Amino acid sequence: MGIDLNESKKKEYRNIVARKVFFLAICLIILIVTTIVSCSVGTGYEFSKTAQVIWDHIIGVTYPVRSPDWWADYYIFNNVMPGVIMALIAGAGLALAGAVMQSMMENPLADAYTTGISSGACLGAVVAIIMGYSYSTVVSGAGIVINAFIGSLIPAVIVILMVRYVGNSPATIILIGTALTFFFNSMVTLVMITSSAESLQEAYIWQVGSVTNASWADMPLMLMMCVASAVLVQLSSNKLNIMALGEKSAKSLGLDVVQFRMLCIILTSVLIASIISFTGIIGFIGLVAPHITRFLVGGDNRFVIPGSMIMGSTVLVLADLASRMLVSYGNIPLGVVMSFIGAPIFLYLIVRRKSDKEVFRWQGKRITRAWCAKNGSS
Amino acid sequence: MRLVIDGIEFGYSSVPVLKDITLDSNGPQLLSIIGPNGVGKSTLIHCINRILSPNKGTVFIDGDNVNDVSLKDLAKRVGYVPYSANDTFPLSVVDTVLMGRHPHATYKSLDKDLDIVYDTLRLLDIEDLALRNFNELSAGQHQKVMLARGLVQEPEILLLDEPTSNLDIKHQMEVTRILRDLSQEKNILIIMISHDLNIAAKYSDTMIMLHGGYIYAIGTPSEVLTKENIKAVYDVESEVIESYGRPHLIMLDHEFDGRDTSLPPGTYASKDKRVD
Amino acid sequence: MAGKEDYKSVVRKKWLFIVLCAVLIMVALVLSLSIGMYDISFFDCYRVLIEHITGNITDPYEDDIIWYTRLPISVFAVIVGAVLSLGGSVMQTMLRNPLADPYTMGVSSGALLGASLAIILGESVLPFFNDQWAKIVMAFMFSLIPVSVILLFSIKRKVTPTKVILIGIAMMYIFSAIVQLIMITSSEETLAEIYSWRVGTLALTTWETIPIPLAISIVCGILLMSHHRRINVMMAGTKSAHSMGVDPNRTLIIETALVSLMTAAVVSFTGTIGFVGLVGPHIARLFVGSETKHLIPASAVFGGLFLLLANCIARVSGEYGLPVGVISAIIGCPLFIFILIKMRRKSAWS
Repeated sequence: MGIDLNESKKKEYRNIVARKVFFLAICLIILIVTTIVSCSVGTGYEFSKTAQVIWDHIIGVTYPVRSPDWWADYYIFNNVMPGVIMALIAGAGLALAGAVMQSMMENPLADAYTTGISSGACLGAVVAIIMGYSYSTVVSGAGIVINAFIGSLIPAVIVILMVRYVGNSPATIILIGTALTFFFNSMVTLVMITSSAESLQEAYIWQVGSVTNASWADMPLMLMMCVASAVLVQLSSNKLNIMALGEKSAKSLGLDVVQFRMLCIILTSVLIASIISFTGIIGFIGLVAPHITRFLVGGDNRFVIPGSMIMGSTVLVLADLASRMLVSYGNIPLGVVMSFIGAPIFLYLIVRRKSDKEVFRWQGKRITRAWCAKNGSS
Repeated sequence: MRLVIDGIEFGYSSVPVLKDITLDSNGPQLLSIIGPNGVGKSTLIHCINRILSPNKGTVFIDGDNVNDVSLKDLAKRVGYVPYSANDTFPLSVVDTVLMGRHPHATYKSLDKDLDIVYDTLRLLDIEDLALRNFNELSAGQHQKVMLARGLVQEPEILLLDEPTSNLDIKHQMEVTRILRDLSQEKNILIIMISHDLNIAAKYSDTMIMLHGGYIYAIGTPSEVLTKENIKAVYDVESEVIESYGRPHLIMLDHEFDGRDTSLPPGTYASKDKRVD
Repeated sequence: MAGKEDYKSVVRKKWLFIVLCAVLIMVALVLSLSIGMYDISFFDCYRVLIEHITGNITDPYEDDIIWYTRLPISVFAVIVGAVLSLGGSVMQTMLRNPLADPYTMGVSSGALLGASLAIILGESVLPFFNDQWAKIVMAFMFSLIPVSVILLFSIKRKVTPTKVILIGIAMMYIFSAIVQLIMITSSEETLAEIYSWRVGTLALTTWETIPIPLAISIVCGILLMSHHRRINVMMAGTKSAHSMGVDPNRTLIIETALVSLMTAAVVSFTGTIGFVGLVGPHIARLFVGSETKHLIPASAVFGGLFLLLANCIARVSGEYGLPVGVISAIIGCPLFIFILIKMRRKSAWS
C-alpha cells in the first residue's frame, strides 16, 4: 500500500517535470519564430521567405551572385541578422547572469550589475572613445571592446579581493558593489565632462546599450561564453537551489558557500563583461527575465536557468524589433527601448512584493540606488 | 482605567482573524494573552492602540472611543512595546527612551523629560547603560530599554508584544515580575502577549486565552490554565499542578512518556575525556 | 542628578561641533575669495570687501571679481550644501535607510527632465522667461511633479510609506527613460549641455539668483527643524511611531514634501549636485549621533562647509575649473565607501 502511494506521488512529480520541460520547449519555439519574424520586419521580406533564406543559408545553399535571392540572403545575413542574433545571445547571457545573482545573493532584486561591473565597463569604453577609438573601423571598434572588458573586470576583482577582508555575506557584496558603482560613475562623469561634445555623444550612445554595431565577428566570443556559462550553471543548478535557502541551511547541506559564491561572481563577471563590452549597458533584462520565468515555471533553478535564457532572448529580440520599427522616429537604441519596457515590469514586480516589507524596504531601495547610480542621477 | 472592547472583528482581506472579541477590564492589573500561533494576539493588541482598524466593533478607553481621540492623546494613555526594535542608526539609550516622551514633550520640557527617563532607567536597573549605544546591548538589556520607552509615555495602558521571547529564564522572570509590580505601583493596565504559559501564569492577575478568533477562556490563571483548555486550544495533553497558588503546566507526550528510552551501550557525552 | 548631567555635557559637546563648523564656514568663506583663476591674496580680498561695503572702491576689476563673481558663488555653495545635507539627513532618518538622499522622491529625475526639455525646446512652457530662467523654472516645476502626485494620492486615499516610495521610484523611472530618449536623439551640443547641467555647477550664480532659493530654503529649513521630534520618532519604526503619537503616513508625506520643495528650489539653479546629500548626514552623524534635534543643524553646517571646500577645489582644477558636482563626487565617493565600511562594524547591519 505504501509503495503504491509512493508510485503515484512519483508519477505526479514526473508529470510536473514533463509539463515544465514541454512548456520550455514551446517557449523555445516561440523564440525561434520571433527571431525569424524580427529578421523579416523592415527588410521587406515576408516571414516564409525569410525563414526559407535562413534555412537555405544554414544548409549551405548558394545563389548565383547578384540574383534577387542572393540579395535577400546578403541583406538578411549581413545587415539584419547580426543585430538580432546579438540581441538573442545578449538576452540569454544577461538573463542567465541575473538568475544566478538572484539565487546566489538570496535577493530577488539583485541583478548582474550589482557588483559594479557595468560602471567599470562604462569607464573602460568611455576612456577608449575619448581617446579616439570609434566603431568606424574594425580595429578601433575592437579597441573599445577590449577596454570595456578590462574596465568591467576591475570592479569584479576589487569585490573579490575586498570580500576577503570585509566579509562574504550578500549584504557586504551589494554594499561594495554599490560603492564601486558610485565611484566608477563619478570617474565616467569626470571623463565625459572634460571631453569634446562629439566624443561625449558617442560615449553616451555606447553607454545606453545597442546592437547596431554588431557584426558576425563579435559573435564567437559572446556565444562561447554564453554556452560555457549556461552549461556550467545548469550543472550547478541544484547548488543554486540550495543557496537560495539561506547561508546556514546551505552550509548544513554540505555546500561550501564561500567558495561557490566566489565562483559565481567570477563566472557572472566574465559572462557579463563579454556581453556588455559589445553591447553597452542594457538594463532590466537580468532582473526581469528570471522573475517572469519563475512566475511561469516555479522557482526550481533546473528550469529557471534555461527558462530565463529563453525569456531573456525573446524579450531582447522583441525590444530590438521595436527599436528597429521606431527607426522612422529617430535612431532609438535597444537600451532605451528596454528602459521603457523594463521599468513598468520592474515596478509591477516590486508592487507584487509589497507585502514582503523586508524585501522591499531594505533591498529594493539598495538596488534602486544602484540603478540610479548606474544611470548617473546620484 | 477602564478598557472596553466591544465586539471587535478583524480580517486581512478575506481571511478573518478576530471574529467577535468582547472584553471589559477595570483597574490596574497584569493581563496576559495566550493562544497558538496565528490566532490573532498581536492583531488584538494592535486594534487597541489603533495601529489596525477593526472591521467592526469599537474600543473604549475610560469611556472614550479610541477612534475619536487624536493620535497624540491616545499615545498619552496607551503605550506599546514592540516585539523587535529597529536599529538602523546608532542611538544612545537615553535618546531611544527619550523618544517615548514625544506625546508629552514640549520645546522646553527637556529637563523634566530627562528626569523621567533617568528615573525609569533606574527603576529597571539599567541606569549605567544610559549613554551606551543601543545596538551594542544584549537581548535582555534591549528589552528593558524598550520597556523603559513604553513606560516614559506615562500610560494608563501598556501593551507588550512578546516581551520575554528571547530572554533567558532569569530575565524572563525579572521582566515579568517588574511588569506585575509596575502595574500596581504605577496604576497601569499591562497587557502582555506571551508564549511562555508558566511564566505568564506565575505573575499575571488575569489570563485571556484566544482560540478560533474568539476569547475561549478568561479569568485567573488557575481558572484558565486547565488540562481541558490546553487540550482544546493547543491540542496538547498536559497535567496542571499547583505552585504557591499558581498553576504550573507539565506537558505530556503519551507516545514518548514511560517508554524505555535508554541509549545503546557505549553512548555517552561527558565533560571529561574517558581513557578506558 | 549625576546621569542627567552626563547627558547634558554630551549634548553640549554636540553643539560645540555645530558651532565650530559654522565658524569654519565663516572663515572658509572669506578664504575662498582668494582662490580662483586670478591670483588675489587673502588680505587684498579682505580689503576689497571692506572697500565695497564702505562704498570706497579703488580697483573696480578686483571688486568685480570678488564681490560679483566669487562671493555669490561661495555664499550659494554654503546654502546649497546645507540644503542638500539637511534634506538628506531628514530622508535617511524617516526612511530608516542609510542610502536615502534628498533626491529619493524623484526630484533629481524630474529636474533633469525639466531642464532637458527647456534646453531642447529653447524656451519654457511659460513664455515670459528668457533662456537662463527657462531652464530654472522648468526644472523646478518638473522636479515637484512626483511629490505632487504623492500628495494628490494621499488626499484621496490612505498612502503608506511603501506606496510613497513606490510612486517616487515609478516617476523616477519614467522620467529617466524619457530623458534617456531625449539625450540619445539630441545633437552633440545639446547632449553636452544637458550632461553638464546634470552634473551640477555653481558657476552661474549671481546675486540675482540667490534670494529665491535662499528664502524657500530658510522657510523649509525652519519648518523641518520645528518638526524635529516627529521626524526623530519615525526612526523607531512605523508601529512604534504610531504608538508614540506620530502618524507615520502623514509625517512622511509632509516632511518629504518640504525636503523636496527645498531641494527643488536649489537644484533648479545648480543642477543635481550629488553626494553632499548622501554623505553629509553620515559624517555629521559620526560627530553628533542620530538624534534629529542635533543631526539637522549638524548636517546643514557640515554640508555647507563641504560644498564650499569642494567648490574651492573645483575652481582651481582642470583648465577652466571643473563643475563642483564632479569634485563632490570624487571626494564624496571614497568618503562614502569609508563610512560604509565603518558602519558595518559598528551597527547590526548584516
